[in-house]
Amino acid sequence: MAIVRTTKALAKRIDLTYFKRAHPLRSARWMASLVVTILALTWLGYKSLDSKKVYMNGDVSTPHQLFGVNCNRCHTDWGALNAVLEGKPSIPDRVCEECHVGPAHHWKIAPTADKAGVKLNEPHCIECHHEHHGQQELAKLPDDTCLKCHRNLNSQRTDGYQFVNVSGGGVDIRAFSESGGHPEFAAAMKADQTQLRFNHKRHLAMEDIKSCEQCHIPDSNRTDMLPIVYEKHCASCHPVGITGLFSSITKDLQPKDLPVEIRLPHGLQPKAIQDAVHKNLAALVMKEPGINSGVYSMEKTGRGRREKITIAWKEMALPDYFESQDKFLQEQVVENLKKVVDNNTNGCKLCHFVNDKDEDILNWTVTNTGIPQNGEPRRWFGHSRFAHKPHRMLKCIECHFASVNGKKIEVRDSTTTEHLLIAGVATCQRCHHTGSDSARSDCVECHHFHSKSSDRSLNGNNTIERILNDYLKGVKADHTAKAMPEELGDGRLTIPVSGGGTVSTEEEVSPVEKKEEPAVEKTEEPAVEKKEEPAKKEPTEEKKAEKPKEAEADKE
Amino acid sequence: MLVDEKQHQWAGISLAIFLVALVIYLPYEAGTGPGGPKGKTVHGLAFGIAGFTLMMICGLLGARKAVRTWRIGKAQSWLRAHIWLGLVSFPLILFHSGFSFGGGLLSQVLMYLFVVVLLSGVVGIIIQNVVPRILLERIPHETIYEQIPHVIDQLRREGDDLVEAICGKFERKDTSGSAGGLGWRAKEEKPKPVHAPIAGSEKLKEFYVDEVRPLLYPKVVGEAAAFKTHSSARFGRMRTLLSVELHEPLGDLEHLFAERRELDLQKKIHMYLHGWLFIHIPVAYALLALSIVHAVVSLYY
Repeated sequence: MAIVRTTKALAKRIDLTYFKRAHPLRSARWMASLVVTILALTWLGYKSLDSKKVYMNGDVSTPHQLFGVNCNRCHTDWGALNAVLEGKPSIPDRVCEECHVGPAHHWKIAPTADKAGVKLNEPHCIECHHEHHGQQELAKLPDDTCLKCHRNLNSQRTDGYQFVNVSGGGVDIRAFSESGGHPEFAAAMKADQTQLRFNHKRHLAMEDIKSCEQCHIPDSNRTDMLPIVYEKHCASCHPVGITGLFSSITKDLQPKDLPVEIRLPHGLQPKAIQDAVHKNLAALVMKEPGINSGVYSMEKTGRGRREKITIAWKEMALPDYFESQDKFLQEQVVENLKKVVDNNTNGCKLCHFVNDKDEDILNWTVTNTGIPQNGEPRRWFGHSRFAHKPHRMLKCIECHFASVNGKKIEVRDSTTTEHLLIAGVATCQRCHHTGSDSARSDCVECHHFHSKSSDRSLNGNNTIERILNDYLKGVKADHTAKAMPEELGDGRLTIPVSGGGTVSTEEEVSPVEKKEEPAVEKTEEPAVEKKEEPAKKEPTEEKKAEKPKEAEADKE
Repeated sequence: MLVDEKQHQWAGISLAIFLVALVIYLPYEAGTGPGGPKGKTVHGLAFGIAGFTLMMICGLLGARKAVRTWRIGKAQSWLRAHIWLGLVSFPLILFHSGFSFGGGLLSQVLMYLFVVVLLSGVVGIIIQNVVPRILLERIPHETIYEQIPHVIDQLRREGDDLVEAICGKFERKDTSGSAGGLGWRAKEEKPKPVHAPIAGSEKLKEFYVDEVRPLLYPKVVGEAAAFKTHSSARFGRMRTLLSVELHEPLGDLEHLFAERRELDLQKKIHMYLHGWLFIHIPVAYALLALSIVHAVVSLYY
């Protein structure tokens, strides 16, 4: 008897009510979905119990870790949404400026802001400084940040100055490498404009000069070289003074204790030199009345002809004596003034350029060298910073040489001050280029964005209590306060602080930094407007209030 | 879901969405400053909203399937839209993030969840295009998946009837037609007439009751598979022990058992066919839930 499957039997194989029951796999999937979703949300909730880090794009930078968990310190409610809708930065500049002044990018740009305090001609802080990227330094910006505006330098110039690529073409910067399009350093392309005659070759040939560091002394940070100072570096071999005093007088009439040389101060113009010479010689003449006794030639008129008659001073009438003494002194002064000023071998003209167009030597002027007289380092790279210390493993001459018409001139062969003796960009690019076998070559490695000369003083505007109360306990920042520090016109800025009111700052601009930027323009931008020097600063109200207290304390 | 010409419509729509997004993204990316495109910019937000909208549409497939009475397009069309819009939502989200998988922990988790959902979906499409052919070739007695336990019960009843007709009545512990694991009950049947047992059929009954019948239950899977390895030898040995007239019913039993084994194989293949959904669907819902949180928090701060 075989199995016969009739239609009826086959129909029974199907349970027609199956669709009314839950599909086992489908039910399991729904259950799994529910469980996984709940688990995911639970995980998120658990993670956000103690901090909001899970929502952050990344850890905040180290300096901001103190209030890194207090989102409201910087963020506003629906700030990101409003930022998109209104086209404003999601973090107002004012938030950053509570602690950072954020001086303008370039001193030629006068920061302007609209009524709401939003900057108009400067990028917003968060456009360049991206928080929530972990422990990286916020100031270490990627090259893209700079190249966004500075890729084609020449297109932004309005003063006619054109940067030139190393290869001679236009400037299209992509990276700091040979093929990256960085232009040649302006400093390396121009002659040194220092108004001085200096011959490295002659000096380095001397036995006494054994190393560069004998004259070129770094500052305390070993970043820059201090300027050459005459008294320290030159005076021992090149004294300013008069030698061969009264050489026109016969030796027997010269005083026995006549000094071999009279030293004069350095840095004087001819008139001042004349005064100094006169002062020194007059002292000698007055001290030694016999000096002129035998030499004075009085012109007398007798018998229709002029003749020289030597009259001993003792025989002179008193008025004649004084006249003769004064005349003698004048002659000696003129003679010695010429020795000092108009002298290519050991006088001013040996090192200095002298404007000697006038017939009267007293109207001559010794040209200002341009070397800072305040003892602060002189920087040749106007828009960048070079630090000697990180390069201390290199010999000086590796980077210091001149290129004239493509010919390399070493320091020891340099005969003129016009050789600035600073290497071009190609020398830097030998080590600093893109690639793994390279020293760092980011833009910010050498270029600083903000003008540091406008940075805030060390006297901030917060208290420890406020930091602990507001920053750490979730108090929201006052985002409605004015975003830009307000210029008071006297160099001070008012910075709005949360809770109302403002704090004014005293901006102590160091002489170095004051000097630095005009020097830039001298080097790179010959025809640009000069920055207005800030007006002389007055002490703030706080400082004024502190002064009487200090005076009282001194009395006590 | 077979990848065939019916996909053209949604594939075309998705390609168009992708190309439009790409045309917008490339100049946006080129003009973006340091660090590349960000989700919070106008463009980034637009890409994020577009991508998330597509993800939500994809997620609605589950709702559409759950509520079959909805008359909003065919389920097949929904599935096609789900596949193609789901695929194109990924590049949109990449445009949103600027191709970054970094960022915060939540953002990272979201991106990796999205990758899991996308990959499991692609694997699912491949499986669904390959496995049904295997099913067709290797399971000639394929039945509806949910009916497998019921059909196995039917096979057992057919075996019981066959053996009773030849070997005489034996005690059926589940004659009421229990469908095994699922627990439903078949309709009561009239008792069938029992013939006198054929001489020498005791061995057949013993073989069926002791060795074959215990494996004709839906829940017994492992033993049936083990028996498969030497079932031919067993049935062959029985064939030598039984008289010639019992060879035909023995062959029928062997056929029943082969059919039962096919159903086991069908269950196994079915798991391959739909198992990926155990990853795809739960992770997708978790992704949607976390994405909502991400969107709200990101716009709030």
